[in-house]
Amino acid sequence: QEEEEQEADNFMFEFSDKPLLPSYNLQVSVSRGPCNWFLFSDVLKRLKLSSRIFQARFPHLEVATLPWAEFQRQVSLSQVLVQEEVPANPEQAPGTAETVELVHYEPELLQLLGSAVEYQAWSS
Amino acid sequence: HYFRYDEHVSLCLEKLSSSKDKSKAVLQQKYVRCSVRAQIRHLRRVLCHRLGLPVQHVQILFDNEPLPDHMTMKQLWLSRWFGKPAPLLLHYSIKDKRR
Repeated sequence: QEEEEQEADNFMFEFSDKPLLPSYNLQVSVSRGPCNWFLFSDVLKRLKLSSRIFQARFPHLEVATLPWAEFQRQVSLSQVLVQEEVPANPEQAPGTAETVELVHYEPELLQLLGSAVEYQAWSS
Repeated sequence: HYFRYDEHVSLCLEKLSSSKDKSKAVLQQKYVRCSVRAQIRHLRRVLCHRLGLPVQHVQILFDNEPLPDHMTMKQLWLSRWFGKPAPLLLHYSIKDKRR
């Protein structure tokens, strides 16, 4: 727990030899501040896994759902994202909810994706 | 500070080669993501750590211009890369130890 708190106070740097999957800073519920997420579909594509296998193998990695309109509204507020980069609403079968599935940005997931993680203290 | 909840920027770090540069150090993992509040000095330090070099030997540049240590990634993005797609392209140069 203490170690986790220390890490929260440090900058995390992610390094990869492949172009990075986009991450999004989103507030997924009112009871929780904004934090970083990947699109679940991006992660599954890169890992070549199905949603079912991913969630069976990594049950502790958090998956969340957000309405598309809300996802797009929050993403449009970012000053460091270009709107053309924001994924468009995919074709949805009639009757299905228009939602986006997200997976929480955290060191263990980054390592699964082949990235290295390094910390750097703010004050050092 | 809780930097882990900050918005991110995506960077690509390319080595600036000069004829005087005898160093073979090249960053293999050149795609980098970090907080918008991280500063050039943090990036420089983490880069040196990965390259195994002392921190005074590495400089970070945008468009051939060395960037100030206290500039944040957000300032860098808004002043040099606003409206452009990720990743933001940065260069680094390694000073020859004998100079």
